[in-house]
Amino acid sequence: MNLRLYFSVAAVFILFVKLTPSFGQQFSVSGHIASQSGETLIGATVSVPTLSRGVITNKYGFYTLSLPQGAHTIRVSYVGYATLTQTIQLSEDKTVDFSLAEEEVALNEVVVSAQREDDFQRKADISVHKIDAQAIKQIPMVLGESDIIKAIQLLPGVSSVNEGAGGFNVRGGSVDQNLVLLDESTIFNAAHLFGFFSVFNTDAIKTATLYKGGIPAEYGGRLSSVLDIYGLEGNKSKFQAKGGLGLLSSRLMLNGPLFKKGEENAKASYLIAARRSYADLFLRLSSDPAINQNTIYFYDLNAKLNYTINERNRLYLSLYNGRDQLRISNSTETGWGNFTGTLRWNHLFSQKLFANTSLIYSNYNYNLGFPIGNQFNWKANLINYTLKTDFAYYLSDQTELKFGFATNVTDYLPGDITPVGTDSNVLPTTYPNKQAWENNGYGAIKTTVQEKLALEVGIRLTNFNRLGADSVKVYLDKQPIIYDPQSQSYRENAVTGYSAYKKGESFNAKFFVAPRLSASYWINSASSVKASYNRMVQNIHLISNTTTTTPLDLYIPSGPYVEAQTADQVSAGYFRSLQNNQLKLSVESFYKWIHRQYDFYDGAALLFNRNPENTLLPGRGRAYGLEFLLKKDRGNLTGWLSYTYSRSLREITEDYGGPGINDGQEYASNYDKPHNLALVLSYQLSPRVQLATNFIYQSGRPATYPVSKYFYQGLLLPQYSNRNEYRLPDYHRVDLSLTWLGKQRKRLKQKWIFGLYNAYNRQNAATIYFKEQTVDGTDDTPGIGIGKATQLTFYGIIPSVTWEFEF
Amino acid sequence: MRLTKKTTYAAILTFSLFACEKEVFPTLESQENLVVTATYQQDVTTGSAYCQVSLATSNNFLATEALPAITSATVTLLINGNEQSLTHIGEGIYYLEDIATDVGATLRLRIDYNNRQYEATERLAPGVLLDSISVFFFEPPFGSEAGYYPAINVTDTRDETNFYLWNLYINDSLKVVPSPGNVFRMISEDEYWDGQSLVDYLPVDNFPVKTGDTVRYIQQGITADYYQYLKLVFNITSSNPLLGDPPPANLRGNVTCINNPKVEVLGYFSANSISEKTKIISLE
Repeated sequence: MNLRLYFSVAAVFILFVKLTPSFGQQFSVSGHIASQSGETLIGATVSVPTLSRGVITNKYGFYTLSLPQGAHTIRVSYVGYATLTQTIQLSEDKTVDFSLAEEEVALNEVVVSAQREDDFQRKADISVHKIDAQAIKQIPMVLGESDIIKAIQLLPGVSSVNEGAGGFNVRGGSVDQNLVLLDESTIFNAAHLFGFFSVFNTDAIKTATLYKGGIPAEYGGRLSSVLDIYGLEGNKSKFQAKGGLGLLSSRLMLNGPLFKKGEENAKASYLIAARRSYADLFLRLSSDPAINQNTIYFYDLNAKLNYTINERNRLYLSLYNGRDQLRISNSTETGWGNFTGTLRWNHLFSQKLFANTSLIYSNYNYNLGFPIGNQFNWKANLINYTLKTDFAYYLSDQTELKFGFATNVTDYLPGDITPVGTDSNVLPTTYPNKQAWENNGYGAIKTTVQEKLALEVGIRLTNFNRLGADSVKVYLDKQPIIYDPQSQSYRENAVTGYSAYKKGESFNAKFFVAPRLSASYWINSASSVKASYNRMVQNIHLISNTTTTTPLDLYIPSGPYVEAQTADQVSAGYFRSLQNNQLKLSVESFYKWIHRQYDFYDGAALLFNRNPENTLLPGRGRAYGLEFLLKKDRGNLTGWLSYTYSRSLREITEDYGGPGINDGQEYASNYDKPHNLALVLSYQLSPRVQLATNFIYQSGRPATYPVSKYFYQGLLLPQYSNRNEYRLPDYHRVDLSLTWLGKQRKRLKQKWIFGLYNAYNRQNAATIYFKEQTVDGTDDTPGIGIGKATQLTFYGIIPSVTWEFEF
Repeated sequence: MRLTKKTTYAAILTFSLFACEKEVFPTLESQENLVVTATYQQDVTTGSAYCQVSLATSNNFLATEALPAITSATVTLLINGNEQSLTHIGEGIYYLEDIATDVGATLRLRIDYNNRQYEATERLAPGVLLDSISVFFFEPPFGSEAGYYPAINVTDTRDETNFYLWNLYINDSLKVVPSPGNVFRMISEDEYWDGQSLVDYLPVDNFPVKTGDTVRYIQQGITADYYQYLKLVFNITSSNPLLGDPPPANLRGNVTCINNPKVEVLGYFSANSISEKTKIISLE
């Protein structure tokens, strides 16, 4: 049913575009821009200076220009590559691919943006950051592990609740409100080691783009941001190996051409990148069975294949498999991981009509096992299948029409408990599975009006359905939760029956309209003002009562009792280039209204809860802020200074007859950090030596402290303040690194990166927890009736050294 | 090789030292609320019962003083349609015995203190007979030493929803620690083992025993509401900072202030059917 709809809509769109007449006596020149190794370049500029015309390549390195008949000198440029100039004779539509040579530079500069020089001011993009993965390696990171998620946390408007937190928070949004894509596949949990590191191996990444606002119509499904990551495709020219040895993990990437004939680049290439941590290998060296039988590790495997069938057709296959495994001898075993696969087909219907169709699979799974006593294994999955097609129709150099549609089905399989062994008394149990089907269509037009005003106007339509087989509880008075005045607490309401749905039967159908608008007005050659508005809709909800994500977090779809989250955001900013484009300054403000924001009622228990959605109270949220960014892309000294003042607030008013949260008063969300400052600098000391430093200062995050105590069942119990009434101490640190190019041989290039994380050993509070003091200070002895507050610091000063090689 | 091994251990040690803890003393604006620890306990074998209520006031979380006991309250229990007074026996504890009622019967506790009236209502939960106490050798995965641990043996009643709480006493001292295991072991609902037997089950695995120790297990059949309350009690007291902060929840028990329902009252009044066994340990 959904496939038939999908292909019908596709046919109508193609027919419409085929019938659309072209404008004037213009010819098109189109093609792909790639490096000499055949790696397509995203965001490369293709211009004709004499006509003051220019375009940039799309996510697949494709461009198209409309030019009058005659000879034209085309200029192709991309940061880090030598600019190429070529004259072409145009008397008909033409395909011209360009190949750029890498500039001979000693070390990469820290480049946050790879845009054309004046794109900064001119493009309608607002609240967008493009990050070159190679540049991330210059930023000092803990244990020398370059990490794209940690790097974006240094940008304005982006933060995390603490150093060890999985994910990131954008403009006051929660972690699950970010759409994280790797080669178009959704990554549901981007964290290794409970969030200390991300799942992205920077060796295998080409670019990442973070959209905080003004989110284009092709993206949807999350309220706060989109992090769109594209991996490298593989060298089409020659075999290449790259790797690194670090204190925590090592990595190796192999890539090269397939079916290469002669000197020309091959039509196909492959890439395999692997990374593994090895703390567990060290544990095995211990003679103590209590240590050597424990396991803790993570690994990633990225694999890519791409094949250029002909000028009009290209195929890409991208696979990712990453996993964490933790086993504590005689106690628990847990593991979690993502497996994704994307098959993409680029097709040129004409010089002006580009299409990409993707078939996507994403599976996040986790397991928990107790190998002693009542042994059991608990397995859970979240699986998404997506089919989508995106079109770009280039009406002219100034105007691009984007449209597309997608259908996706998500299976929510929250738990399957199986007993292990004959001694286990645990009964096999399956938690209720849920399935959601979502259809999206969008259209947007990007245009420039009289060289002064750049506009992108779009709309995204979403149809959301739940699918059977399912059995949904029917509650008394259609209220899933009631407030019990006697116990002064919320709890699940009385169930009066069940609504049963057959397999594949649709229910809870909803329709959403999400308009998008971005505009840039070019004041003069150096400055512009920009503004945007977007509405976002989210039908997937993370059920977690911790401030950080954990592997056991539970996701649920919207349904009869948990509605879609929706948000409206407006942004406005001033953008200016200074000192002949050496410096770029932006000041942006934003205001976000979250119309449907859920939070847990006091005392909600989630683990082993069959209906965790019935622990949520609806309310609203808002976030606002001012973001400042000063960036220097060129010269020996590069980097940026960012500062954000923002607030993230929630209001869960009286509902279901109860007081809501904090008696309905507005309160700070878990990730409300008003002040956030980051200074990132890199200095090229000599052709072979580069110094880099970060300074970070952030307000402490909100916390709920126990203010009083009492005793029950022989245990000291806390009596809490209002939710998030207190704050942890402010956070700050300085990181340093030195990159030294070792002896460069003809075939082997190598470099050493020495790092010092948290150089002045600031004891930052990851959390402050409160417990009863015990007889001997351990958790295995009885309490003595006195409370104690303990601050936990994840990282003090940490030196690191990493060796990287390439041949 | 030896050098490699030493270097490796040093690396592991370094990594383990990244995280560190220190005691801090934040300023807390404490509250003073009535704390009610009240229980009605009826033996499933003998049918005898008693009611005990402890009253105190909460104090600052970091205070080193004991909770101030409340000695001037009037406490009554409405049972079988009769209201009976509990006697203050010292240190804020009120007591009543020689009472009994039926499973499912409603009991109402009433407290008059400081010109306010407080009330709690609970139904007597069904109970299951505790079969026996056994002792076996066990090597806990974390912290506690290897040794002989007292376990229980019980058979659940099939097709009846039961909720359990187990309390361990060694030499008349209640043994409980703020362990993450409490929420999974000290309490249980029979959803996953309805009608099954628990053999050598360890509700508490932190206290090994030796010859001559007197071990007493009290198995309490509790209500679903009380089970949920205890779940929160154990969740809060065993929260692990590495996996996130404690759920930001104040435990609301079933005791309310009649004069002003917004007054926060701490604690719980439970009515449980109990079965207990005692064993003097002999490991020879």
